[in-house]
Amino acid sequence: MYTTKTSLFWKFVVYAVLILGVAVFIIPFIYMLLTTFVDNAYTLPRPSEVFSVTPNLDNYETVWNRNNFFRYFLNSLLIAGVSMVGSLFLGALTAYAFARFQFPFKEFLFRMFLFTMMIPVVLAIVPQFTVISNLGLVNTYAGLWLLYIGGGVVGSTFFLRGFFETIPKELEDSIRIDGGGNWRIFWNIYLPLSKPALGTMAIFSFSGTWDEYFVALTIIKDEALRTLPIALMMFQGQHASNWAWIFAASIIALLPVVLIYIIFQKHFVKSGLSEGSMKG
Amino acid sequence: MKTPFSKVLGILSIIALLFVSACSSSDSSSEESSDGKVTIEYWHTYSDQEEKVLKEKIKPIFEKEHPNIKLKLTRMPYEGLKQQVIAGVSGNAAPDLMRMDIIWVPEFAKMGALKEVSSLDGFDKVKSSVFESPMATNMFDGKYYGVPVNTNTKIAIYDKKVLDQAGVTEAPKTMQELAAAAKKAKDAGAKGGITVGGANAWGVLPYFWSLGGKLTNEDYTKMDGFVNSPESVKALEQIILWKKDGLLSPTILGGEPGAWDGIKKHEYMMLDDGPWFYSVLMNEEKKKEDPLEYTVRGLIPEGPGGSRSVIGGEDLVIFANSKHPEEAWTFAQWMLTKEPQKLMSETGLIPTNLNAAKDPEFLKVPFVKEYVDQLETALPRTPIPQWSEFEKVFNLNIEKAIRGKMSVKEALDDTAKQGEAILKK
Repeated sequence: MYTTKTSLFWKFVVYAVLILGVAVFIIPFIYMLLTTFVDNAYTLPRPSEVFSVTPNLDNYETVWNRNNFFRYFLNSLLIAGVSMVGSLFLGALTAYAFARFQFPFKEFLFRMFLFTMMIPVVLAIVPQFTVISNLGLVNTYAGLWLLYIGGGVVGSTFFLRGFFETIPKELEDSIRIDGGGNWRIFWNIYLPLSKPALGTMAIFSFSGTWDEYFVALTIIKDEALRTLPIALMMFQGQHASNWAWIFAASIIALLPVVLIYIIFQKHFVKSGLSEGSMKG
Repeated sequence: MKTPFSKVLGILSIIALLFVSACSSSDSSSEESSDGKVTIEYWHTYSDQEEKVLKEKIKPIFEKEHPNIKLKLTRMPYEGLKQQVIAGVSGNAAPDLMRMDIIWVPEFAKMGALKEVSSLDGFDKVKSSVFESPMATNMFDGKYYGVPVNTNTKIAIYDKKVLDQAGVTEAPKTMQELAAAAKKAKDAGAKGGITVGGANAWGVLPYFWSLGGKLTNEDYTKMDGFVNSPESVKALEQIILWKKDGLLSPTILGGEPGAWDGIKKHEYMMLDDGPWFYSVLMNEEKKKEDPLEYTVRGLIPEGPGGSRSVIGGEDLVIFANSKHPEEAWTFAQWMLTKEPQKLMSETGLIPTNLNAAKDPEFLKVPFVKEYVDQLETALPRTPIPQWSEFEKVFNLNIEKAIRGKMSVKEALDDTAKQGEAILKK
């Protein structure tokens, strides 16, 4: 249909657009990386300074040893890790119920669930804080997990319900014939078949809580218990900020998210696990 | 059906156990009074260098002099700080004391979040020992809700190189001289003359006031006829005229290079800024040039309204739901005495305590003299609870006028109209 000439032309256009897209995404990142090598960036360095810089790790070293950065890094790992597992697990259970069980007011309940997603954090913070305070959970990770997991469950339920519903119901029969119950169906069929969805959700959930600043600062009062985004904000001064430090700290903070992405992205490719599991 | 359900329960209980253990381990560190000491919590926003002095000098001395009180310091980031305080107050989890931006005090006082201090023992003594205008920032409804812990203001800072190129030999004393110098600098090739930080109250007010503008009447109850008076219109028109003549640096509308950058690279003639300009830039580890060497300092040039800079700084407030108000007040009083004030001033913070500010040792800090002098004529931003709300209106209208989207008269009339409505709230 196409002559070689036109197809070559289109190939060229497609590649040009793709390369342009890559450039648009990666240049700010490279710029940020280069800025971390600048000394004394109390004023944002100019492009000429940024592109003539010699790479060094001085700012990374300063940042790592400042404002309890390392301690906060570990705190954040614990908080984001537990929240991720918690919201994923509870979300999967809830989604299973919504996908496979019939009960009164099911759709109404589901809508209510979704509705809570639409309330901005800033509006909810005072009532949330009052509740956490009445439970005696201010300044504890338990209080923070309660809010993070509570908030995360909604998102993962919404996401996983749709995925669960695509899993053929007939697969359950094999378990039922062998005398297995709902738990076994959930654990041995739904979870393994939903790995792509769970992987995606894990990345969302982890990066969501890893970046979270506002709720963490409100619930956690002790300096020693604070999380990484709070440490990042500490680099913003009242009158002047060292941008090289802020960017260096941001790059360090970015690493775990990149790592999590690398771990779970394998599962993206393996979609359609249930294909061929049944005849016809 | 039974077996899987019990498994779920099992897993849930494991999660619950995790919660409880995490909860108990962190709880133990927050509350302690085993040794009969009272712990007061102090929220602050000191910078790195300032925090060091606070932790290593102030805290040990205070605790030694007051063996029954323990000071717990918590440094707060700026981002969303106000919401943090609101959440803390409404959730009964505010600290005992806080070092808070002066313009927040009336607002929180109106909310009922702060403890009135003017009726406490020793208040009069504190009041007579500090500068008057910083003290005034604590007033709400005729009573005081805090004490000023440090103050600051902005002065005029000139780039020596640019002045030389323009053939100007000394810092301009009046607004006319300033404009003339900026013209010469511009003609000599400078990228910018007068560097106003932004089209907002903090940036514009020193010029607006010095050029004769006003925001309210004397007792801060009326805006109509003041913020839109002929003098105010003339003041803002003058600033806009400078802009049209190219005498202002692009920073007023957020243009590049930034204010500090422009001065550091000898591209702007003058900026107005606080003592942090020196304390931050002098502390840079690998600085190419010393800011003391390449700048000249002067008071904000005088105009029809005098030399009027704007007061910044922080007040020390006690929260209404503090569990240890007496001990908190003891600390607040102590913090305003000469010794701790002097210690904190080592970092470039200007003491509010008169004796500490006039101490020869403090005045030896190479850049502070002009700041202390400027404080005598500097004005606080209107100390009303509605300031933050009014500021938004003011900033927006000023920017519109500067961008030429609105005439100066219209912009200030609208500010007056909206301001009056805000004042009535």
